[in-house]
Amino acid sequence: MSREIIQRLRDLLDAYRPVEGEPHGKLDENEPLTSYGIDSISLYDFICLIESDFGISIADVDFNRDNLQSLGSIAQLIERTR
Amino acid sequence: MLAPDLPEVAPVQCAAATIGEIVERLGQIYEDRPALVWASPTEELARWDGPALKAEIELLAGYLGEVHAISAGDRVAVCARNHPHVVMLDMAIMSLGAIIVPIDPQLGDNGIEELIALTRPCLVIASDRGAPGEYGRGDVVILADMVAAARRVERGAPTAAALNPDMPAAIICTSGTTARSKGVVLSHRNLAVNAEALVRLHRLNERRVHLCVLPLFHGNAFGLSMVTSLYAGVSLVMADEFSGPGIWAIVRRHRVDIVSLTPSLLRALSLRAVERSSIPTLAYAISAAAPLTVAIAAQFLDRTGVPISQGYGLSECTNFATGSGSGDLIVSPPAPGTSLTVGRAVAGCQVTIALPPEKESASLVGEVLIRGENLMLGYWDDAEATTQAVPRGWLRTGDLGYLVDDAQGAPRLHLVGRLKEIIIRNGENFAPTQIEEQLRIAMPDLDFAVAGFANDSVGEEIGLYIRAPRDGLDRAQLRLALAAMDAKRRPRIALIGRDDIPRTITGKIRRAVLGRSFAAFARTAFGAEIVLRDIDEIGSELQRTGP
Repeated sequence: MSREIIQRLRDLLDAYRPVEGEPHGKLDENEPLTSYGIDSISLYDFICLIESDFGISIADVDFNRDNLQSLGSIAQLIERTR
Repeated sequence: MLAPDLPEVAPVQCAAATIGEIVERLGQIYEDRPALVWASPTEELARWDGPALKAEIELLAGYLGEVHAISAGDRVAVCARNHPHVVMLDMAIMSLGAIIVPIDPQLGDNGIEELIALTRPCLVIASDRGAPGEYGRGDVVILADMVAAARRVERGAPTAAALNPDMPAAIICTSGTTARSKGVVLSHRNLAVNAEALVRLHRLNERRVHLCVLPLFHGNAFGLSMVTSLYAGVSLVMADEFSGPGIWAIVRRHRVDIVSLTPSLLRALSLRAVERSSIPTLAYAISAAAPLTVAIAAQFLDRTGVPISQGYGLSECTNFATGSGSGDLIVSPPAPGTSLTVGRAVAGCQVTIALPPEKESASLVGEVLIRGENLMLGYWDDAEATTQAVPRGWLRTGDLGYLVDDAQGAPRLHLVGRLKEIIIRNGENFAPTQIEEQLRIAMPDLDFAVAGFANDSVGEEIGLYIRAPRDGLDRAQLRLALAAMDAKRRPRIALIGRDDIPRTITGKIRRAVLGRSFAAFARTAFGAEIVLRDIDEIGSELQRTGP
């Protein structure tokens, strides 16, 4: 999995929702995003940001918990979608 | 404050008067059509036709009766995420004459304990193995284990004739936007009347396909998606959670024609446009459980083209008191400033407005009152609260609204806000929702909310919280937008932060929580100048809420 994609996702998450005292640069890429306060609704805000930043369009059918649960799974989806 | 002396509406004739009768009919009304479809995008597709679903419900009912000795009047808590087993279990519990207590598994230990202490169930059934091992006095069983055990030995189920429509069937715990939770006790008849009213409103029949993404522990999905669909022979397609644009894939695959959503989900779905022609079966989305703003309705219609049916109700009236049917939808983006109606009273239900005597000639806005066969039996174990909520047979909703006759002369309800949320500034009343609608015109792209807070100078002051956008907030523009407002309604202080606006699970703004963020300004005498502050700067913070 591309380290560059993971880092770019961390930067986006930093811009989207800074977490006090815990820079996203250190986030575990396999940790569920819910652990960082991203609920099922704000997740789609974040995904739209990713689509815009990476210039991709994620298929409706790929919007599910398995694909979007962590930065790592999102990075894999981006690689598949590109 | 009294309601007009109206004649009562005629009783509603229902096709089935109890949950037992609804279960009994499943085999006939569905035959081999899907009654329940599990459309989780991450799990294997599963479906049950009418006879198969009936058999599963009876299997669980038999198991609960024999192994756990559950019988009429017992309370059974179900603390679970959406799953077909939850539908089967909920229906099984009620068909035994026992009382289902649905609980949000994400409430956390304290929240779950509070509801367990309130309702004192004899059995708790949880979906997750990670759930706390002890819930008060009740035994805890893991749902999947129970289903597996029930399948090992087949048992029978009691007949529907054992049930009385006036028996309690469910206790729906209110989310309590401002106070502690209360248990709303609904009878079998409440659920049946609500289902029949929704059948008539939405013309539900065996050709319809309903998508449920809302949680079954909430009154909306419980009463509308589950009970009403199974009452009407509607195919119920269920997903485990809201999956954003993933629901369009489910709509296409299962030819869904009605989806039940909340305004916050409509907003999330508006973030990406969808080709209307790619979801041709979807007739409309039902929006309920929280107020739909003009901005959200306009954005959703603009990006999806899917019409909206707006409804209104509370758990205390089972589900819906008013609604807009298929011939009466919001089909094009409403203009800013439009007042959206939440529809007309559903069958068997009366809606009126209680006007304070001194204001009768000056205003048509007052507290919304509801009466009908869909009104709860009462609050669990709280006769005093019941008497306060339902004096003289009318439910005091705590919502402010007014009625406007449509072209056919039928009164349609418009909501203004919550009575408890009204901000009384220098003796004048202001509804936060109306201030927000005015602000929305000047600030269409910002995420914000208004709340009142105690202030020594004016009694209550109007506070505005803005969630800072990612690309920064143009403060000069914000000042201009606020300065352009009618001075009486203009917020004097705006707090800017990165946290989400605190909301309940259905998306209602928790204004009491928000208002506490302005506590540092209780003694500030605001002048004409608008004060802008970063929330971190004043040492305040927003309380996070559930999902």
